[in-house]
Amino acid sequence: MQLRKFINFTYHRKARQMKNNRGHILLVATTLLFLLHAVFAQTSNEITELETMCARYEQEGNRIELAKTQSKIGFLYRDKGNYRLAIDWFKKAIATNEKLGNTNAIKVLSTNIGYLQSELNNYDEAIESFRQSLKINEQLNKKTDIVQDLINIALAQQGKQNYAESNNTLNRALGIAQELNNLNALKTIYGMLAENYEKLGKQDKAREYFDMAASLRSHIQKEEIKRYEDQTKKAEAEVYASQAEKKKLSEELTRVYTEKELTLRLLEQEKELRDLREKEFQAKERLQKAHQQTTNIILASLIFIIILITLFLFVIFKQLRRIKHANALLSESHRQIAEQKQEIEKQHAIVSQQKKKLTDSILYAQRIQNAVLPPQYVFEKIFPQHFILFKPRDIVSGDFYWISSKDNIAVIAVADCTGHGVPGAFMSMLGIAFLNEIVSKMTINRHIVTFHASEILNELRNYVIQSLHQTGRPSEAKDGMDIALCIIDFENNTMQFAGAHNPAYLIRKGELQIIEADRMPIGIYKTENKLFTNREVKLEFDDQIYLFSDGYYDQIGGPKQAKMMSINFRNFLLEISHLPMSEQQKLLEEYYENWKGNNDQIDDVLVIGLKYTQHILPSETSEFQWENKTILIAEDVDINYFLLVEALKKTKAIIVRAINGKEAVELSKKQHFDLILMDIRMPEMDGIEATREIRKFNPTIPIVAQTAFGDENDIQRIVAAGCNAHISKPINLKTFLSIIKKYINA
Amino acid sequence: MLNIMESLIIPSGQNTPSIDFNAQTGKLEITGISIPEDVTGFYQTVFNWLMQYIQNPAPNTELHIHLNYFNSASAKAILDIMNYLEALLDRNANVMVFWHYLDIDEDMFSTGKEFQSLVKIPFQFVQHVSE
Repeated sequence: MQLRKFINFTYHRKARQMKNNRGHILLVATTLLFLLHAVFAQTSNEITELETMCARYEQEGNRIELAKTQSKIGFLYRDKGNYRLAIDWFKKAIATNEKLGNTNAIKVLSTNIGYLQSELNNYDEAIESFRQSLKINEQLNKKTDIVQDLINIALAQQGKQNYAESNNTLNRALGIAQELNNLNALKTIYGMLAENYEKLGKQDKAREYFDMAASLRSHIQKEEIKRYEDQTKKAEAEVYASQAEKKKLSEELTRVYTEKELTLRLLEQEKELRDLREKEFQAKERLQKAHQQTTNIILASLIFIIILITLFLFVIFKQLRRIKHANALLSESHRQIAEQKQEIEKQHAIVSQQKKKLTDSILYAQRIQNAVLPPQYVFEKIFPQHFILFKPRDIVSGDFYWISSKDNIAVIAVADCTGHGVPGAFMSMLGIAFLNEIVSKMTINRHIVTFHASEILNELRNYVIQSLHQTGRPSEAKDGMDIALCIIDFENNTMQFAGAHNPAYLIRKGELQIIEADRMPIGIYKTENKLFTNREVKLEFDDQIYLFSDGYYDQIGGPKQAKMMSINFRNFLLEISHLPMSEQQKLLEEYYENWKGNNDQIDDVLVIGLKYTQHILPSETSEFQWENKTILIAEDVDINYFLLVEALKKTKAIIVRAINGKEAVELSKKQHFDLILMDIRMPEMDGIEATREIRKFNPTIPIVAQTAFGDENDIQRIVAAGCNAHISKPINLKTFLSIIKKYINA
Repeated sequence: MLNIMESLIIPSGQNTPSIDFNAQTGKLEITGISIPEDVTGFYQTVFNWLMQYIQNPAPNTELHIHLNYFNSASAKAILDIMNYLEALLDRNANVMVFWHYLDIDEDMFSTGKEFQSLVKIPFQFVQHVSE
């Protein structure tokens, strides 16, 4: 149905366009119509069917299908040549489509009505229908269709023989067609214009448009020819391409053939080769068979040997494995040992570190202990010939020695505290402190009557018992000390001695005398109420006194790993007593070390040797005795002041200190001084100014200036200020005392 | 009921004496040297044994001190041993200290004398001739 419709439609358009060949076309059309009529004679039945459907659609209100069916009926009538009925059905379809708003259908249907009316020579109705289509196309701005509508209108107008009006319509169409460059439309328009002008008698215009139409026609033909040629070329190219493909395929085929052939040939050659090999193999086989027997024998022997070797290797392997296992065990135990070693080393490191800490702390304690023990020079001053053999068992010692001197008296003690090392050292610190306190109290209070060696020990025992809160209960610590203490009186050449367990030895002219100690310690004891015995010995010059703890002669060693014992110690002392003190110390040390050998030191060792020599008695310095004189020392520097005090000590002068010039001036205003020792460089007020000030109210007091290294400028200024004399620092004792003597007695 | 007491036997160490205290015979011997670092620790065992012993002593108790050397702390421990045995005197039991010393070792002899002065137990000094 669709195809039919299309053919019809095309036919109508063609028929209209070919107006100038109308006669011919009409013939063709008539022929076609006849044919169509013959072919579609049976359409009447169809139409009846469709009409029934229309009624049903109308009833149902199915407008879309109704419109379609109505158009179909219209076209069927048209095809049958019943134009009037066709027009009626088209009009019905238009009405239905108007209700649907389907403008495209209306447009097509109107145009078809236009054609049919033209066929019926009803040109006015035709024009009206074409205008209806034109109106819609103008609304839709479909320019190509507008041109077609205008041409259709112009054709109808031509039919009406209204040529001028037709031209007007064509001119309008021409403008739009030119705008669209629609060559086919232009060609038709030009042709129709030429026709119209011809009818109107305007030959020139007619020819002009005719030529234009002709040239356009030929142009269109050329275009078409060209398009055809292009299509031909394209087809040729395609053919060529397919040929190339074919060639390629044929080549491929050839190649495959060649390969196949080659393969076949190779296979043949291989077969030949195989045959050859077969023959060779057979020959070899025959040869082999010949050797087989010999080879079998060799092989059998070989296998036997291999089995033997394998067995042998197996045994070795087993053995090796056993060794390896043993080694593994060994290395495991090695590893364990290494681990243990590492652990031990670690522990050792910790212990060493702790030991170091402890040792460091004890080493520091040793410094304190050494600082508390009397310095060498104190002994030196009183006993120019002496020795101190001091060998603590540990770093710090439970043994200690102590010395104090006042005027012509020296007190010396050697003590041995319970235990050794740190506990001993603690006790020794107590002992030293107590001795200092006890002896200084006694000397300051001038308890000459009670100033006995035994009395010091009694006091010491009280101090220890009280300070350790000892009560005598069996459970408590019975700490304390053994001690040998002597008081040497250089004026009266006597020695007092008291001992707690520790005696003293006195060697005089090759004879040793034991000065016995009491058999009781310093500390709580059964006999704590018993007083210590005071022993007095007359001393002679060159007497040698030995004080010691028992550490020396209790040392185990010697040829029989025995205790040295005091008797051996005494014998050795007698042996070396003729030697200088320093030499004695050396030999005692050697003797001890030899005795000890590789044994551990059993206890702290302390031996002190003193030679009683002529003491520089104060009587020697009697010319510098200023017992009732008072000296003012103006000195800001402590050490210088103490040096002066020391230098003046034996003169028994009373000394007053001023720490600067100002204080010196003030003191000398308030108090009588027999002499002033004036330092020059002092803060606040220097010595020169102070001297000037003092001279204002006291022109007679002797003022002795001290200068550093005898500065010449200073000396002049000193004299000018009013000083009597000057001494240079560092002072020479004799010169110094002589200068003082010169002015102090004046 | 008779409580049979075990003897106290401690072999000598580098710094400690050998202890051989026989509860049955009543012979208590201390031999060697006594310089232990921790004196109280060492002698505490001895004191503990003695505390038991004096509850149930042998008819005759003999303390044999056969020491070459002892430090002052040990001296106090030895004195304590004697003090324990002193209690037996109050029970009319026989106690005697045998103080052994070398003929040349007057230090040990005089120390013995000092001990003698400190306790009520009778002393017997046994002199050994040095080789």
